[in-house]
Amino acid sequence: MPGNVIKLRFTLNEKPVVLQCHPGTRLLDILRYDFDLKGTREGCSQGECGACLVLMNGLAVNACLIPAFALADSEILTIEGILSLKSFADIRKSFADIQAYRCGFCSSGMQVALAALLLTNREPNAEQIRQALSGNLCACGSYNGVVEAVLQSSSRKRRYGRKRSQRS
Amino acid sequence: MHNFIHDIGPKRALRGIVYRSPFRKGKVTGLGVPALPKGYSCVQARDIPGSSILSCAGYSLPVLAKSEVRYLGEPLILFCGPDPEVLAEICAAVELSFEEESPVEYKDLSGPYREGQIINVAHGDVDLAFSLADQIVEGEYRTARQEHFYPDTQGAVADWDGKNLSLYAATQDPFGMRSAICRCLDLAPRKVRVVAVPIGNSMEGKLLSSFLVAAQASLLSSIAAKPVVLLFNREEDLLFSPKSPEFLIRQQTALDREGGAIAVRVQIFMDGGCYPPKDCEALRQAVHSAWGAYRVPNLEITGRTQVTDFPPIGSFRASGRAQAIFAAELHSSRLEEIAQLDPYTWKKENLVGRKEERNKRPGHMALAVLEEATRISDFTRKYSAYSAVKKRRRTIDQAAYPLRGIGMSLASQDAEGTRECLHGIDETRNTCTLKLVLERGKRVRIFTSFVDCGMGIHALFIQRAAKLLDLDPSKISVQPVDTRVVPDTGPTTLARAVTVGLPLLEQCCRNLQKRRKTAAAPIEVRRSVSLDTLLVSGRRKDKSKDDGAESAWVATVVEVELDPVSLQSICRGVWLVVEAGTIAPRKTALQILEGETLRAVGSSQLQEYRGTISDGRKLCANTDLIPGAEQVPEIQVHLLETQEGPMKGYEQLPHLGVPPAYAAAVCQATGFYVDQVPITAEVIQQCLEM
Repeated sequence: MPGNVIKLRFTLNEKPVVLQCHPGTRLLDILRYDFDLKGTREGCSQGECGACLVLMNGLAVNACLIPAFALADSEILTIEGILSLKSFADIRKSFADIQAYRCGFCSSGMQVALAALLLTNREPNAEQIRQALSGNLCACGSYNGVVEAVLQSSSRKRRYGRKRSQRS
Repeated sequence: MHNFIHDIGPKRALRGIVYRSPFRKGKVTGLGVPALPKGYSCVQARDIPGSSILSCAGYSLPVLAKSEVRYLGEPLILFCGPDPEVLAEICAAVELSFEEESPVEYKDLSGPYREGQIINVAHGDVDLAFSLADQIVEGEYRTARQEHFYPDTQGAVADWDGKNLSLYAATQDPFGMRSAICRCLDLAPRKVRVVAVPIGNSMEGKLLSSFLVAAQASLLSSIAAKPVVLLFNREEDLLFSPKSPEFLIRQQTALDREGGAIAVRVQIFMDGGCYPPKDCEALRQAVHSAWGAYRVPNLEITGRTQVTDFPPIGSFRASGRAQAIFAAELHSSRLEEIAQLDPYTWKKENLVGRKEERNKRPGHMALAVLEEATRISDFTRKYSAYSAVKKRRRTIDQAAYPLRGIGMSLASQDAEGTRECLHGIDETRNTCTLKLVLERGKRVRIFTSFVDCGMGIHALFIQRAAKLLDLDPSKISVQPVDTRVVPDTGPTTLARAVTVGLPLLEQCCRNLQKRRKTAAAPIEVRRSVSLDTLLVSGRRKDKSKDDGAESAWVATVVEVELDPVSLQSICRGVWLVVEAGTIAPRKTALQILEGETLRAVGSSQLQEYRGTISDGRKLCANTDLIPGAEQVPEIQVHLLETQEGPMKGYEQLPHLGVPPAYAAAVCQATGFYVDQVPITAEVIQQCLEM
């Protein structure tokens, strides 16, 4: 192996992967060009806009700021994984009703941020949702619609849960 | 999930890079390109086969500078090759010699600069009225350059196969791009295909800038004979793409003994940048809306484009109109104080002209939105309360914090401006066309050049067609925008889609309904409209007789609070009342208006874009331009729906109404006349120190 290339093993969307790359390569570039996962987008390259958010060991991180050498033995979940894996089926139900996205560029980053929140808090309030989205910039200003949709989804799940328990 | 320009591109494509001028102004005396490795190519200005100047909507830029450099970062050479790191090394190895000149740096945009375009509008006898005035009120208002901050940066993918060119572009105007590329590469239109990919909320920034990137990618592809991907990262886009122009506006109002306005004189100075537009829609919009929604018997407006040494300017949402209305509304807030009237009363009285003309109809929609905004925001009570608090304190130091204020504005989005071919007309494109095809299985496809840009245009068309054709919306789709397949409906903005595209669609649907009864699928219908027809029917030459019935109206109320430590103004609430005809679908319109309101709040309070103004060899990129999720104020948008009248364009309305209402609120909160936007903590600190 050339001196400036490292070999990495990590888990990507619940599958083990091996990759050889320069240690400073951004996770964003690895995802988009080595694995063709285009859902993780490049917005600002400075970790400010959240368009490149992924889950790394359960925490939402900006992929544009993560160098390759930090990936060793980590678990990475991208928007593609969140939208397809069975383990996230329940969380996806909160996304299904969100029609608030206008152009959709920020949607994958926002959904990763929401997934990180919903993993630990299944019924967040508006303030908690906004805090979770505080690292996401939306050029269309769609925040209120997204917050409202997640709240409504939580409210529906609560009502459904109550009805089920009443029936049983 | 949409595929934006950064998501596409063949795997075998080369990467492109732009070598830019490291100096701000001067002449290139020598340009030494290093020996290129195999598989790498370069393009200089002398290699451009056709026209080296790109034009769009009145703005122009050279694709590559020949010898004269006018701004820092002006493109000089293009390179392409397989490895981006090697490309960066090639750029670093370019040998450049130049004679640098000192740029002219006047702080005051009013001169003495060279003047470009001049527009004069006048009615009545302004000089006489001023000579008879009891009092003259003067004010000077400044609006800064703005950055579009579209989420997807500029980029293009070009593929020259030896005979034909295919372009995948992030653009609002695919046919305009095709024309520009044909002129640049000296190709016939049939040899150039443009596929417009979905774009983010562009703020009208994907016009000339998108043509420039596409032309550069096309040149590289034609030289290398391979596909080329040219993408800007955020830093490059922030630093080098054209911004909205800076404006300086001087207002003078002559008042009679009763405090009524008898004459208004307005001077507008627009920063035309180093490549000033020859025929600028932004300046025209500014001139025609310089006295806002109000009537005055004597009016004189002069607008000038100043040729400066600042970086190039480009289109921006509501550009020109927003700045003029900002100045007019803020100036009127001074007149309100002199007349000792609250803003609602003053606007109502002056909207219908002089007292003897009050029974006339003009502007009744303006009154309706004004009254509703006053009611839902509780404006009158809050305004009185905050005014009383302001009167009781002598200085801000003695204030009982927090400092609060409330402001109101009234604005219209002119139907004339929205019908024109987006800020100016290319004489070769005078017709807008839309096509509808009914396929077997009762499926309908809509063919238009309007791009999916986060404005709900495609969804609007689908819903309207579904209603008129009595079909399920799932059976209707919009054809991907490909210049080989769709007709030219003109460049994309929501206003154009609503005022030009929607009527064409409705005509197509009605025609299709008739033909369905006698013909079998597939059935194709087309409808076109000439822009000359639209302009003649839409233009009001005598502005004094314009009753505003065709305009969309907005009354905006903004309430602010000043942080006593940081002096940052915090928006507590925004109320918008909009009249824009029969709006459908309502939910989409409310979403769009709320989103644009948030962008307008950001423009009012966050950092301005700073170019190389005074100490600049290096531009300063700013990303503090868009409020985040935790900074969203309470926003209430009400739609007044008229039962008659077609839908009007409305996406500009928040950008017209929010900044002056915001500034008026800060004025009341601080007791200072804040006469510029954005209103940052630094601006308020400057007011305190004066």
